[in-house]
Amino acid sequence: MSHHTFEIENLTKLEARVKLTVKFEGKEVDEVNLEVQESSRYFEAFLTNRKYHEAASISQKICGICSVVHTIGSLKAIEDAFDIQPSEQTIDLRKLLLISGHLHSHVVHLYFMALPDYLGFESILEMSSKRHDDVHRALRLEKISTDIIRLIGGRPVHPVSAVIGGFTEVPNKEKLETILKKFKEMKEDAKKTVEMFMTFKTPKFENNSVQCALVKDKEYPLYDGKIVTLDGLEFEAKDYLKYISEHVKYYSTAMHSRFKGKNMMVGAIARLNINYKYLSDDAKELLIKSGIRLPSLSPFMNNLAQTIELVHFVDKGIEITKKLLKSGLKKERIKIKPKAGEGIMVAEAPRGPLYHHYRIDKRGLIKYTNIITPTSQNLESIENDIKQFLPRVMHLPKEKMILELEKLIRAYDPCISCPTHFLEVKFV
Amino acid sequence: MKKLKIAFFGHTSCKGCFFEFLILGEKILDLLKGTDIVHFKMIKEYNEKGPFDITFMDGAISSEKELEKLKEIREQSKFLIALGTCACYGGIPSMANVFKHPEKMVYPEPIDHKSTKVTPIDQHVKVDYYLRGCPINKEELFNVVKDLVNGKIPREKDYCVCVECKLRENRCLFEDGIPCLGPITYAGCNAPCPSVRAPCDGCRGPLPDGNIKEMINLLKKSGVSRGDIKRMFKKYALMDKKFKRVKI
Repeated sequence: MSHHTFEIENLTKLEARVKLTVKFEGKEVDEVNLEVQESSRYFEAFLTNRKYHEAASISQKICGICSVVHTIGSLKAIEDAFDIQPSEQTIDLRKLLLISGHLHSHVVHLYFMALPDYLGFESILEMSSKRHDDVHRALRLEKISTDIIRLIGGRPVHPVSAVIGGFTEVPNKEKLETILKKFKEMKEDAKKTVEMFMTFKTPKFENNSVQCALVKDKEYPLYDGKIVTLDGLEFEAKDYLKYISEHVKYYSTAMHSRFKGKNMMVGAIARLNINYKYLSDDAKELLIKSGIRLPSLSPFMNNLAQTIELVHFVDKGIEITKKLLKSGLKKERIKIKPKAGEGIMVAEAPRGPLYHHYRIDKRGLIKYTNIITPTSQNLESIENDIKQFLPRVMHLPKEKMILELEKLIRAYDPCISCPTHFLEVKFV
Repeated sequence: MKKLKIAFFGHTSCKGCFFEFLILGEKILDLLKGTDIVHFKMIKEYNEKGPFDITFMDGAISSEKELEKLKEIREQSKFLIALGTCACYGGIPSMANVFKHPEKMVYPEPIDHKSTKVTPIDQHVKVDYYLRGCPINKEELFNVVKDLVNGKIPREKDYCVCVECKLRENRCLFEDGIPCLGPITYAGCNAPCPSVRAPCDGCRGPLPDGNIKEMINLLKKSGVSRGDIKRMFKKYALMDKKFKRVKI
């Protein structure tokens, strides 16, 4: 039998341009290349010789959908280098920003990218006349989550008020009350989202990728923590290079990462597997109702995991805002003494752990930057999953097969701008 | 009335400007009364080829392939909008232009992708409207489409951020010793940054008649070093002639 190749260019409903190339013989798949065609943007180079305080406003532009976590990530890493310990109030406000960023990102993925597949529409736009309630819910959630980012951060995309050591301005009582109201407004919509997604059928499919997420005390952490695998291996952010390595694939502008040489899977499903005990009560109740068996090794469960996180994050947002309303926000003076040093941090981005690492010289200039994004941690697993999954759908008509593959890729919610140093499908 | 056909295309960028559109909320449904979004790969499975009435072109141009595509899209578009600072000026990705081999600083091994100099789209094709900002302001996008649906040609705001900042009754950041690029930067964003006491960092690009010399004096008076002023100018629009020829 001869070798065949097929290419799918222009995979859609992803956050970038991706091409898939598959080489196969009969039912044997030899090679799968997920070619990220998003143009290279050399952030690690851009940051060289920039001042420490510019890291946030430049690195947030790595990604339009995860800009909150890149902002906070770079602030945390630089504070680590300068030995700055931000106040509890600052950390709480940053947590609120992260929560809103995750809500926004999950809603985009669940409603704008994944939902039309499950319901048999080409896009959410096509749904507007026939699935009126779902579309309105999507647009509401999308707007409210980013309104909260704006109320705290000044802008809905690429927030500006979070700076090293604190905030240029903290929200007043009136703004905090609006934020609380907005979180409360999202609750029912978040619950409905879980209830809808739990009715969707997904293929039975599992992988053996190493799952990683942050852990901290009795929290479902986003802001900080140790990194732990589903098997219980634990390490600190500062040791990330001992565990996670980045690799270049000649066909892709995105770097691929491995965990001690193995494929990894990070994001909502890994967080849920590792931290489900610390979900809010309502999120826990919906988790049980959803029927997901944990730990789940299926990438297809990532969507449902994201929906459960929606409910948890809304609850957590309400809790933190109430706490801040009770204690009241104080105007804090930020004093920064730049010094030569090295800073490393990890935080949970919507798609999994994000690492920022900087070296700064005594003039406050950035001399070295390394950023490892969650999508780069997922890419090897996506390629491998396609290889395993493809024989099951190869008999289908081409269009249907492409759709099934796209569903698998989309389940990971790959965010391609991030690791370009970063995907179209090409069956050659 | 015939609905206008809208297309969204993206090249080298973070895609944040697409999200500014998506977070318009229910206003999107308003826009869809007068328009059809026929091409938008990020959220659509089926994407038409053209011709398009309004095309939003996001991102800078950083490869031969992107350039080819841009020219093709221009041919198919009646009204082409440069979406965001990357498309308008080159934006953050154009910072690559100051390095000889930025790829060597990022990729430990060579890859197939070949980058060119990072350029704004008007260096290659005619642009009908500049929707500036990193990111753009969603309200401006909404108003531009509304105007076009109503048969009006949208007008850009040709004054500086300070005007909008004053209208919001903000205390000037310079009074508190915080250096800000508001005086030379295109308005249209409604000054969100200075409204939370964060300085304007010039993400909408320099006004053609902005007084750069006076800006430099003002910054120096606030204690900003020459190196820092250079870094402030060489961020979003470093390819712009306004910043290129400036002596600091």
